Parts: sequence; C-alpha cells; structure tokens
Amino acid sequence: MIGFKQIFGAMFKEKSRTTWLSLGGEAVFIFLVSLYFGIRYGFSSDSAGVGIGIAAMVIFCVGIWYQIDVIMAAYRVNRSQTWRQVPVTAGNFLTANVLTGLTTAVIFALANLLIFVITLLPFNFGGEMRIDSQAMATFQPYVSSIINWGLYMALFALVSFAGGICFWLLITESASVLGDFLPLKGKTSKFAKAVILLALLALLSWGSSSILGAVIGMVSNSGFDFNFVIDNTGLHTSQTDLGLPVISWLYMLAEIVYVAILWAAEYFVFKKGVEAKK
Amino acid sequence: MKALEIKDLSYHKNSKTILERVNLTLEAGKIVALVGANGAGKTSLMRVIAGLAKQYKGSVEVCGEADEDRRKQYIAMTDSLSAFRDSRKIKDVADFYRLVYPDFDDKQFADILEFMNLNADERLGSLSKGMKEKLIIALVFSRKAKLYLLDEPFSGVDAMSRKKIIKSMLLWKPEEATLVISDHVLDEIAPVIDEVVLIKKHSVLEQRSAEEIRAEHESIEEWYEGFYEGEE
Amino acid sequence: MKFKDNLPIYLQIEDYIYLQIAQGKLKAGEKLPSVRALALELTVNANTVQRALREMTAKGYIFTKRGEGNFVTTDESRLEEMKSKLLKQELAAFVSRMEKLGVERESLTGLLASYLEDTREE
Repeated sequence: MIGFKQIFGAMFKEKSRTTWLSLGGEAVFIFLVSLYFGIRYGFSSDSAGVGIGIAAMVIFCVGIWYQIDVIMAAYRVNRSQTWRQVPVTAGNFLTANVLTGLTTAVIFALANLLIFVITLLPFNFGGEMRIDSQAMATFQPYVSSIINWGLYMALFALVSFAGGICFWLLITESASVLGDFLPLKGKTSKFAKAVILLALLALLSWGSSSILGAVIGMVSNSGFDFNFVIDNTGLHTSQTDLGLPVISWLYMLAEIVYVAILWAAEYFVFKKGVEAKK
Repeated sequence: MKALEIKDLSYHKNSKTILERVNLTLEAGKIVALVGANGAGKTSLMRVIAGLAKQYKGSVEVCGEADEDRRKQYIAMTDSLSAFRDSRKIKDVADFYRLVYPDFDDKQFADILEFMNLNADERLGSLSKGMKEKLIIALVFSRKAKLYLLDEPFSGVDAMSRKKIIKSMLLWKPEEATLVISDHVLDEIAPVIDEVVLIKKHSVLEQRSAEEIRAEHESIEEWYEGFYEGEE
Repeated sequence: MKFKDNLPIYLQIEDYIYLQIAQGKLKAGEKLPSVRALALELTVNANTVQRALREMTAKGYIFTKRGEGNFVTTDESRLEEMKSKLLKQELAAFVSRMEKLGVERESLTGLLASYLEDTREE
C-alpha cells in the first residue's frame, strides 16, 4: 500500500502539468499584449492602460476556466481506471484528490497575481504615481486590521474552494451512482443522470444557503454590526472595534463544518459507489 | 493460501444481472483462462476482483485480503492508460507507475520493453494497437503481484505481438503468482493454460483443468464451443 | 513448438524429450535444460513441463540430482526400452491410419516392401 504523501505527490505531479501549461500560455499572451500596447502608446499614456485591462480580462477568464478545470480534473481522477488501481485507501485517495485540486488552484491564483503585478511594472515606472502622504498617515492604524481580514478571507477562500470541489464531486458522482440503479441504459440513462444531478444541485444549494443563512441570522441577531466600509481613509467597521470579531470565526467554523459534512458524504459515495470507467 | 476466493458473488447494474451466484477459487501459480461469449461478464468479474466495480454482494478475497482497497496491492491488472494523453511518452507512464506502485521494478520494465521492441521515448499516440498492448503487458509484468489480471490482451492485436505477449507471460510471471487471462478466442493461449473457467449465464458454468479436457481427446477450443452448440 | 490441443500437453512434452534422446540430441547421463528453459523453448506452462518430468522420473527415464537438476538416465536398458516404445507408437499410428484407409493387416507387409523397393536409393 502507499500512503497519503505518495498519492498526493503523484496526483500533484499530474495535475500541475495543466497548471504550468496554462500559466505559460497565459503569461506569454499577456506579455505580448502588454508589450504591444506599451510600445504603441508609450508606457505612461492612458491608452496603454488598455494593455492592463486586457491582461486583467484574460486573467479573470482563465481563472474561471481553471477553477472549472480543477473540479473536472478531480472528477476524472475519481473515475479513472489508471488511478483507481493504485493501492491506496479511499480516504487518502479522496483527500489527496481534493487537496491537490486546492493546491494547484492556489498556485495558479498566486502566479496570476504575480503576472498581473509584473504587467503593471512597466506602466508604473513610465507613469506617475501620486502618493498622498497624508492619506497614508491616516491609513496606518488600519493596516493590521486589513492584514487580519486579508488572512481571514484567504483562509475562508481556501476552505470554500475545497468545499466547492467536494460539492461538485458529490453531486456529479451521486447522480451517476443513483442513475445506475435505474433500469435504463444509453442516452436515456445519461438523461436521467443529468436530471438527478440538477435535482441534487438544487437540493444542496438550498441546503447550503439555509445553513449559511442561519449563521448569518445568528450573527445579525447577536447585536454585532457586520457592515464594514472601505474609503480613502482605509477599512473600518462602523464600530471602533478593529480586530476580527469572534463571530467571524464562528462563521468560519460553520463553513468548515459544512465542508467536513460534504467531504464525509462524498467519501461515502466514492467508497461505496463510484466505479472506474471501463 | 488461495490466490483468489470468491463466494456467492452477485453484481447488478441498471437493474440488469451481470453476475450472480459466482463461486470461484484459484490456486497460486496457475495460469487460468477466463472464457465466455462477448458480454458474458468476464470483464465485469475482473473489475469486481480488482475493486473497480462497486455495489456487489458476496465476498472476494485475494491472498486472504477482503478489503476492496487493500487487496489492490496484490493485483496487477491491464490498464488502458486512458488517464494519459497521446502526447505523453512511455517513460512518463513508467515514472507514474514507479511513484504509485511500490513493487514496480525499473530494470524489469527496461528488459520487457527491449523484448517487446519498444522505445521509452515513444509517445502513446504513435503506438499501434499491438504496440500499446505490449506496453500495457510490460507495465503489468514489471510489478511483482500475486494475481495478474489480463483483460482481453489480444483483441485487435497482430499475430507477432500476440506471440510476444504469450512469451512474456512465460518469461516474467513469478512462479507463485496466478495469472488470469480473459479472451473469447482460445487457439493461441491454449497450450499455456493450466485451467479454464467458463462464464455463461452470468455465472461460472465450468472450471476444469486443461489437461483433463485434453485427456478426453478434446481440444480446449472444441470443449468450449461445445457449450454453444445450437446457439447462433 | 506447435502442440496438439486435443492431447495432454505433458504427454507431448514427454514424447518430445524421448525423441531428443532417441535422436542422440540428449545423451545418456546428460543434464536436461531447466524447467523454465524448456517451458520457454516449447512455449508452454512451466507446470506442464514439471508434470512431464515427474512422469518421466517415475518411469525411470530421467532422474533428479538435488540442487543440480534433471538428468537423462545412464541405464542403457531403460533407454532401449524407451526407444522401442517410441517405435511401437509410430508403428501403431501407421497401422491404424492404414486400416482407416481400408488396407487390411495382411496386405501391410507387402505394401511396405514394394514401397521400400520403389524408393530405394541407387
């Protein structure tokens, strides 16, 4: 048998191929586009900003495509005979699948950020940056709060994305497994499975929004004002409390519990029902 | 310890019976032909044994191990390599096998590749059916397993490649390992098999020693065809 | 090696080795190829080869030296016996085939004599 580290390593090696290829293609395209606009209009001119705009658009679109691809890759791995013959426990297999999806997505996101920043560089040096030193001064006390919220949001995004992978695996695989119990085959079977998938999607979406709605309700009834504002003096809540309130961690906990439930449900479906494709 | 022990196996899908009341015991060291008409359930049986098919009833034990995931460590099954794009090279596939199978032997893989006249730098997309099948066999026998499952390794394969595959079975199957090879045509593998298991009507209809059949002056093929007399 | 599939292969392997001995390709007391080598050479299962060797050992045509392998017997009478068995097999097959062609036993010697006369090398 092999352990979690080995299956994670093997999956990461395979999945990251798409990551590097996408990043490579993206980077080359954006580089050429920015170069074109910068040379054509000069790096400091406003028209050169079109280059940045295009870069942002490409990154945004590729980002969306990539997120979908991560989920599809996870689905394919779960159903691939090559992968399912590997001597590893179902728990390690599924966890590695979800986590490699998450890891490659994070790498992709960070790399995209880097690409975007690098695209900005020539425009920055060519152009003018006016720094309002007075605004910076009033910004100062809020920096730690911004960092705290930033970290919180990043962690929340990671948990949510992992949950998203589990969510989609769960409904697509459940639809497939349930569909196999019906006395249908061929196109009718595929149609039935699609119908079941949509039903599960509706059911689970309602379920998740109910849970999160309940948590939000809990939060709003707690007396804490959850609104926060970003203006030219920085980020602040309407109260003077600048730290991360306990309530936001309860929200995070709810999300973690929800994702854990999704993972457990998916584990059950995976271990008991998901067959490797012939 | 038996290489394979199946008790009361039944497997249904889409409300259709694929296998039912299957009982099968295989000893270590044997080469067993799994025969039956197309769609009789040979592939499904192998998939159940390998833990690739789910929702079946009954017990399946490989080397005494019943757990679906744990018994995979004793099984080496032919894999269509569908997870790899045509642009991947043979050595990439070997790298993958090395990562996930602790019993994968690099040297053996190189030896078998040479025997099969394959080059590790070739891309999957450039391989003919025969070459791909030889590669699949090379990967299977580079692993030191207790139960080898070869699912129709000869279909669509040219005669020379078939001979190579059969020779490789004799060269690289470990002495104590059991090999199950499924096919619906018998002439080439007949001389090398110890036992025949016939799948008909969703179950194991017969399990006989090959030499026993021959002692009754029937070729394995004649014996097998005898079960389909009157059916067209 | 192409074996008939309607006759136990181990018997055919035996015959093959007997033939080798009768033809002098394997001498008395000589070491036989290993089980694996024979299996590969004949493209058969090692188990079948082992069965053939077991039968041959039981009949006394070969013997096993522990740790060294299988050897052809040095007992000349045994080898003679083996050879005459082979010849008898050939004759039996010939007679049976001729009978199937409608030739009667009494005419066999005559037919054979005239054939040998016709095909005598000058």
